[in-house]
Amino acid sequence: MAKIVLSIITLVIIITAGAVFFKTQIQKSTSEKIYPPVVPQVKSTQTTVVPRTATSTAPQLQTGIESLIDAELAGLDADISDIGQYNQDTSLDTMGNDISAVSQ
Amino acid sequence: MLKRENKKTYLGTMLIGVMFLFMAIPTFTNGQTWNEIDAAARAGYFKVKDTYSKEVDFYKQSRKDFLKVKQKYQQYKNAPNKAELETKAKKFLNNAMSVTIRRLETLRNKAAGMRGISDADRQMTLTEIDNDINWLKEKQSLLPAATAQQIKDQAKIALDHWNKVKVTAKRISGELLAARINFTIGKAETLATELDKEITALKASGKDTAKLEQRLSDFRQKIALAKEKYQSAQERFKAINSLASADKLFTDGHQFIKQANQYVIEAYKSLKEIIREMKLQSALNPGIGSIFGITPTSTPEK
Repeated sequence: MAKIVLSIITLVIIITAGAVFFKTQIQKSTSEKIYPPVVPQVKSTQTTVVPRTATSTAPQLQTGIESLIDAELAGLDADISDIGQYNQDTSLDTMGNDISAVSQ
Repeated sequence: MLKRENKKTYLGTMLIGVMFLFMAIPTFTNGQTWNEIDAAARAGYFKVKDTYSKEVDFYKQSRKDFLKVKQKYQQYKNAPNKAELETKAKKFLNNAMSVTIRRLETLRNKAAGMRGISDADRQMTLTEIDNDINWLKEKQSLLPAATAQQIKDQAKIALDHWNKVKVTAKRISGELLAARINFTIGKAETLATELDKEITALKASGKDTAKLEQRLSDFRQKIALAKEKYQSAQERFKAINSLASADKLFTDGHQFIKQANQYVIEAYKSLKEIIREMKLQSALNPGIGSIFGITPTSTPEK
């Protein structure tokens, strides 16, 4: 009996872990379709504590920061555009008059 | 003997399970970059926006149906036409409220996902939107049993509320935008302070920093101009409180935000030049990256 319970618990752990893993991977790949990933290489470069005089990682770091700047600006641009479009939406412009027609 | 082997099999299975768990954990405990957070928030926003667009189609169809039946009733004025008119009016009002709810939900999604807003402000904004949504849902629930007079009364109430929602949506969306650009300006100001320290250290070590100082000054100047435009925008958005002025104030504020964005773009161009120059002098501090949400001491991504 105990063996069956333990096997079931093990199976549940494996299925849950597997599901979480694949779900996260799918979410990651969906996000990457919207914004091409520019950050990951930078992350690993920046994780090393580099002496300030070292030249080996400087070019990568430079490219990394530049990519981050581009991503930051792209994100801001997208938000400005989304909010602009939200307010320029004319689909409901006649709603006021249309509702008035009901009350008459 | 068999029992011991079963134990081994069990332990082996258990180990695989635990390994799976450890493989899964880093994928969601690794710090997400702003880029990834933005992408996820935007994907969610487009999903809600898509639902809103579908609701607009339902609304437009019910408006056509209602206006057609209303014309027919005005022509013949008989009982069957009156009953049909009431049914179509209820459906139209119901769809008008639904599309308003969806529009508010689109804004709610943006407010929930946009960065640069403090937790307290975000919560206040979400509560304000939720109150409007709940109000509409409550009125919607009264429609099925409404009499002809009640339909007319509900229409007047819905119209007043729609006018209020239009103003609220413009103010909130403007304030969200202002907070968003202020976030990027804030990052730039922090960067300027950090770069200043780096340049001072370089100068102290005897290096020629004239070019760097000039570029940092350009960077700061452009960020200061962006901040001015942001403040002008924020004033316009905060002043939105009536239907009469909402469109004009929002448009003006949005223009200021676009101008601020241009200065931010130019400022960051100067920043790139500073980074290139510092790289030439081998003086680029990895800690600078942390301003963009990455810390040099974090676990490497595999």
